[in-house]
Amino acid sequence: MNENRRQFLRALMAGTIGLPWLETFVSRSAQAQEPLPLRFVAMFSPNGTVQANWTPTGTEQSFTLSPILSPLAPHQNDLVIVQGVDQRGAGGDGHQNGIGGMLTGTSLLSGSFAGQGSAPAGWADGPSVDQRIAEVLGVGLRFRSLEFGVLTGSADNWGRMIYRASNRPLPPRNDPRSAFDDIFAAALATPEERERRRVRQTSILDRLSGDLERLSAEVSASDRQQLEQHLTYLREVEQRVQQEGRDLEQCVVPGRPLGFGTEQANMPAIGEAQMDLLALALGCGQTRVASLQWSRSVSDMRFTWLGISEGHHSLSHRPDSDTDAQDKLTQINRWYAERFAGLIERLKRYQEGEGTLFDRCLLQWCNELGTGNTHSRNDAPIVLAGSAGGALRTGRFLQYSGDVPHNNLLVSILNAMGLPDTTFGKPDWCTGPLQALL
Amino acid sequence: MVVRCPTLRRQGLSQAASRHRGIGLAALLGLALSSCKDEAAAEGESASLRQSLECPDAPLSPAPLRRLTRFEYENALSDVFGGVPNLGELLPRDEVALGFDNQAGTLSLTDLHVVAYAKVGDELAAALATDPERLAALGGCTEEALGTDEGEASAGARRGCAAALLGALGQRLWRRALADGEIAEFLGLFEDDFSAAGFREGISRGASALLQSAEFLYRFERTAGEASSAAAPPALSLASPWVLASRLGFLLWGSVPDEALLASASKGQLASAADVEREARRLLADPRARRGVAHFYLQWLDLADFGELEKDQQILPLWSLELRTQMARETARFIDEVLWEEDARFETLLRAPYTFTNAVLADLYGLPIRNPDSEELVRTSWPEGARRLGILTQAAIVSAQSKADQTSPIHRGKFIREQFFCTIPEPPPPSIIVAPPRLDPRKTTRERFEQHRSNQFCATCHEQLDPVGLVFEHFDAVGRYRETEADQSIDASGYLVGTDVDGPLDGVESLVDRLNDSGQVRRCMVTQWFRYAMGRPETEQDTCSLDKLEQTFEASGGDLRELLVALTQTDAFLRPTPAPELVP
Repeated sequence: MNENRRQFLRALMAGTIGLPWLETFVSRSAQAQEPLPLRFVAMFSPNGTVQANWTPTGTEQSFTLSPILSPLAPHQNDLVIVQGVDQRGAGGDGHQNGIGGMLTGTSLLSGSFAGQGSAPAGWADGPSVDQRIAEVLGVGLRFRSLEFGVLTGSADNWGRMIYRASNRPLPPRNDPRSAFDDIFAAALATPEERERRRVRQTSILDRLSGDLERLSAEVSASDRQQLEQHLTYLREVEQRVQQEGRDLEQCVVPGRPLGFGTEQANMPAIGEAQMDLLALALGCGQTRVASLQWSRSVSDMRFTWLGISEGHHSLSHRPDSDTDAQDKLTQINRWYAERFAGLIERLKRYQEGEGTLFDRCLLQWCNELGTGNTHSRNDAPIVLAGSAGGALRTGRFLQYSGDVPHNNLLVSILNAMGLPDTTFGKPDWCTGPLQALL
Repeated sequence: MVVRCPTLRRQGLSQAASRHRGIGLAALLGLALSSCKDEAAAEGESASLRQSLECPDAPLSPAPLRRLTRFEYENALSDVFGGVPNLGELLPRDEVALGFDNQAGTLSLTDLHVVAYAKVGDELAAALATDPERLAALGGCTEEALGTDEGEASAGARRGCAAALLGALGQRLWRRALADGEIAEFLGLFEDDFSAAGFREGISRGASALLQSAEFLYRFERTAGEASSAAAPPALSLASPWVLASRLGFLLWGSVPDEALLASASKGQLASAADVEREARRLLADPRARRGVAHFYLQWLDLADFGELEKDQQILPLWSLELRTQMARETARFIDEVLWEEDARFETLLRAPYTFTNAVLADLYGLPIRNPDSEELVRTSWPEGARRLGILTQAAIVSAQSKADQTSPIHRGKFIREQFFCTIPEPPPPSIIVAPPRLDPRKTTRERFEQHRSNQFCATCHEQLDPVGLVFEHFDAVGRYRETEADQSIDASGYLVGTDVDGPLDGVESLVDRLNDSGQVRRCMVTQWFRYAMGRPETEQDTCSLDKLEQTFEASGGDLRELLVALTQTDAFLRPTPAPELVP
């Protein structure tokens, strides 16, 4: 074990997650002189915001960050803050269709998850924007995309924002340790060990694939869909194993993270570890598309580490006139802004080409609601960071009229990532790209 | 504004029918229902079978393919291998629909599952391959076969023991005998013609592949060598013995069948309803039934996520993770006692005059602390006038149906409605802003929710919830008894509307009386079990099975153990799942 790895382990043991080894890291593509790839990251925080304390003041080019967004000040020139975009949504309650439609631009299918204030609803009806990007950017990589989460709770449509396709939610990885094992552990193995594993896994996975193909032919159409999905994932996992030797060489991998309990008080520590893994996976070419889901919609997380004992969702339902609640919600949302800044900082630590990894990233911080106490999906608090290799002019604060459909933002994100799409999500909810964003 | 608020709608049925990967609507709606008691001609069918089936002419509901839940997967590994690697967060959680984690139409499968199955399979298989005792026990692998002799004879012996071992392991995991050709496919994972050097790796690969195989992870209901749906079973027949064994194991143990049950299946001793009943009773007498059956009750009582419940300790200083742990233990222990040590009657679950306590719980309940240093749970009778009885006043239940800083008459009322009456109150219209009244030391909870009564807009719906939940007001948000709130005596009165036992209530005791008298609650109880047992919502075609279940449950005096036996005697359980139409 080299010195850096030991340092990392010590840092973890001590409960701090500084990553000294990141700073000296140069990503593989920089050395290989290939065209530098773009990356996309979506980050979610729940329950809407406090509009008055979120909205910056000033003009497009000259603006002052708000109390909630102030932790992003060091990166102000790298941001595009988008206000006045309205998310459409249908099916389920506001939180459900908020988180389900936030990145997919679709409504929820009918289903069995009974919402507060609506008929039961199912999963979202289309792929999320990151998955559309992954379809193009993720080809040939070990991971088409990586979904990270922090205490995201039950497996239902309040807790899913990433969809591979209609009716196909992708669950986030909630445990840094399991995530590490799956993504990076093979990098700690010797080439001989990896080769043994490759031969073994290939033979087993071939056997399993053969069975699934045969069984698929024998079952009903809906069951076949399930088995075919299983088969798709088997083949993807097999592909990862095949690529381990080649692709993981580029990763300077720290030791295995410690396990964390699922108590709410662990949220900050789990989140730091997940952000480290996310940045590392992007930095050493394991994926180009990632997401980080903090808790879930309707999260009643208690931010005891900020001295707030009431649950987040309970606070979010209090009226605007309740200054105590507004203050606490401001603190909570500012805490999430600090995390978003932390993600940006991590990506800026990776050298790539003449600049950093961040230069070719686009990050989207999103929320399932605009405002918690009305469940409004209007004026969702959207912060973009990074220029996607210059596609996006940053350092701007864009205010829209309020009737602009959110799907248009998703189209523009695709365009920034180099995709020529002219519409995304439910066609009725989309009128093309978001004016003036790019 | 006009408020549309039809009193109640039944949970399940139509809404569930259009679930994601659910049952084809055509299958649900297109099939005409024949009467349960039709005396249709039984051409060429066994008269005794016809007799043992309640409604031989009713069409059966088709059902989606079931994936093993995480609970079933872990139990199966534990039963077959004697231990499971700690899964932690390795496997994603199962989706929960209608309150249960085993609803086939809702369960997903992703790459995270694939990776977890591979990891667990590899670990267990590696341990097996290096355990001479187990190799001998499962496959009859001798020292000679395991040795280093490279002769042709010993390669043959190794092939023989590998085939025996994978056949035996496969039979447990697949819940049916494997055909020789199927075993041969797994033997194909051995390299170098069964050389001694590659033998352990071959065993390890074969066992790992079995552990990741679709026939282990999904419940295909077919027999060896027979395509599952190409040959539709006769209209009137029992499911195959292997299928019945599998259904019994998963229903009663939450796991694969044991060897004895598989032996019955292979010897033709699982070929009648009576055989199934005999085996159901044997399984219920096994300790594994406690584990399997508890999984239903914890979900039905909305306690599946109790281990994540947190409270505001500034307002409820008594709350601690330790208290939470003890509350969960209390309720699990109580259910176990009622079901397996007592008479297992629904009424006893609701009315038992005792619970289980230790020092932590006695402190919460204001009981004398007998053994301050012990965590051991001791059966404790409620003292005279304690106003506690059965399961509903236990701390875990009332805490789970409370908010983090206060009680919640709405959640408590909704819990009773949904879990005991199987009705979901119409939700509030999306236009209203849901802003619950804040805590106010000068007002009782009842007063703070006064708007739900005084405002007609709210009242039409909330009268189904609040007046039921308010009867629990003697129990605060951590389940402690209280006589007063905001310096006023607790008013625990309420009423029930829209049920078959409507009328005024006063305290939980009166609610328990109604629940115990209600035919609707009886029907709901068997419906909940039916959904759990079948892994799907009930459909029109299940009416006959449900009617029969309800009658048996009532005739048994509400015996919850007998209800499990009765479940195994329904047409839905005994007969083959109809072949889903093949899409060309």
